[in-house]
Amino acid sequence: MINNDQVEKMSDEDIVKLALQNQDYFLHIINRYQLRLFNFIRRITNASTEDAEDLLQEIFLKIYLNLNDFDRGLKFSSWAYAIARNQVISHHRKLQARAEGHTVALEDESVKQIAADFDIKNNIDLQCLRENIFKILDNLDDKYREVLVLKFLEEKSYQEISDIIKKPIGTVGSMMNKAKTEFQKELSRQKIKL
Amino acid sequence: MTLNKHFGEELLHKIKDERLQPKPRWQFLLKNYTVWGLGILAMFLGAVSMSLIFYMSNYSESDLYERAGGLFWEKIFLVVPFFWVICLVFFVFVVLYNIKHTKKGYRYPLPFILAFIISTSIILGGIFYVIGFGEKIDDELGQHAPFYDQVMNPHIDFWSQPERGRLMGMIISQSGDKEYILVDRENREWLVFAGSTSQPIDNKIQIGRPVRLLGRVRSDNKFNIIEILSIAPGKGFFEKFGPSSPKKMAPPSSALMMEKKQFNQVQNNFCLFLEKYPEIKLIFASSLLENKEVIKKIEADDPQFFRYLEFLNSGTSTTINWQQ
Repeated sequence: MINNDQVEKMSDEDIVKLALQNQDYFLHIINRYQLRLFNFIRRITNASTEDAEDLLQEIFLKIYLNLNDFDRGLKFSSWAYAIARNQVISHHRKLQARAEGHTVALEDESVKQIAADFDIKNNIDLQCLRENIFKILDNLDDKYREVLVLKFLEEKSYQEISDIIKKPIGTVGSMMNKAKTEFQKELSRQKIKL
Repeated sequence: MTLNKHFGEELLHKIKDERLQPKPRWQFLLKNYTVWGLGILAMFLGAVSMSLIFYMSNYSESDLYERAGGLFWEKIFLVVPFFWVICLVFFVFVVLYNIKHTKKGYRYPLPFILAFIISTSIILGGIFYVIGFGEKIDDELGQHAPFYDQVMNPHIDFWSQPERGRLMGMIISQSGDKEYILVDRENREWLVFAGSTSQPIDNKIQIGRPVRLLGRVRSDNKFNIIEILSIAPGKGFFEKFGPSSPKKMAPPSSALMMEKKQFNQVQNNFCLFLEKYPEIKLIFASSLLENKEVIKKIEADDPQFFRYLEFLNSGTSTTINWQQ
């Protein structure tokens, strides 16, 4: 048995190989991704903590059962996010029916990144943007909210987003542009002064 | 509002308690190979459809359809092989679906994949056509596929309308000078007369070879040929009726041969009668000459008519030219 410190230094792909031989190693995968996927679920849905946790459990079970389907040509994180996204889509209606609102904290860096990318004025009130960003995202179409969350909150590259939402990279680019435009429009519509 | 801090351990316990195991790798491989296999098969069938489009289009003769009295919509159906176009579109979509469902198929934009599939179908279909594979497939389908003549090849339906001057079938035997027996799509026999065509017959009509004929129905199961045309797409269909196929060969011509034998017997008796009484022969010949309009009318329906009149010249001092 390899000790925990050694496993922590290993890549996701190597831990997957170990988990296929011994399921105890799958705990390392869970520990690495549980918070990221939990936040991802809460950012793209209105799920309550309990619902998100149930969903997260289903996602990890699906990841475990399908470990042999993991394509080493992809990043493990993209594969895991794609499974999470599909699971969220199949539970979408149920989650919407129990809407509770987003309460996921945002890092200052994420908020600054959004401000810079959206060309929001320099003397931006980060606190205000932080408080209102989910209000704006909530009013966007699912497909636009999804790419914005993946790009700015999950900090994924275009290639990773393409692998997660299973769309060509060019389509991701156009969706991103459209999403930014929609975000700006919603910003003006809600008369949020930043 | 945060995640349970024992989430990982609890989940691992659940996995162990329920004795869950990752699905075996072969299941995923089987799924992948099935997607690829079906995609490759659909690509091949799409290329075959394309080769048949090339083959049928190469033998579409829009000016001929006009001469043959085809209506506008009939010409459209003859010039564009709709059945194979629909097949091609279907297989293109099957390939598209399969590519999109391969592991990395989503990475390629739809126009790129469509362009790839269509250009591959054209190239492969072109190769199949050039090496004669398209023709071979058409022949095989003609011989074995049900509804070939109704669905796959509209030419057979178009050329099987004798009342509109179009007859298509297999020449199975020769019954006299410029007289042949043809079997049509319904296995019905026709006595076809090539006396009034100006074409060299030997090159066009051969026993065991399917033909298309332009002409006119003379009477039941008798057809006067004006023009003889060869068959390319659909020839396999008529090869079922060919003389090399013994089961199709046997019964057909007996009824026609019997009719022809009876006719010859009556003709011989009549000749003997006229030879015995030369005065009556003279009266018969001169009254025919007085009714040239009637002769012309009969000749229009039966080009062999003058041949029958030649016996009136035998044994006489003057030779009458009946065709003048």
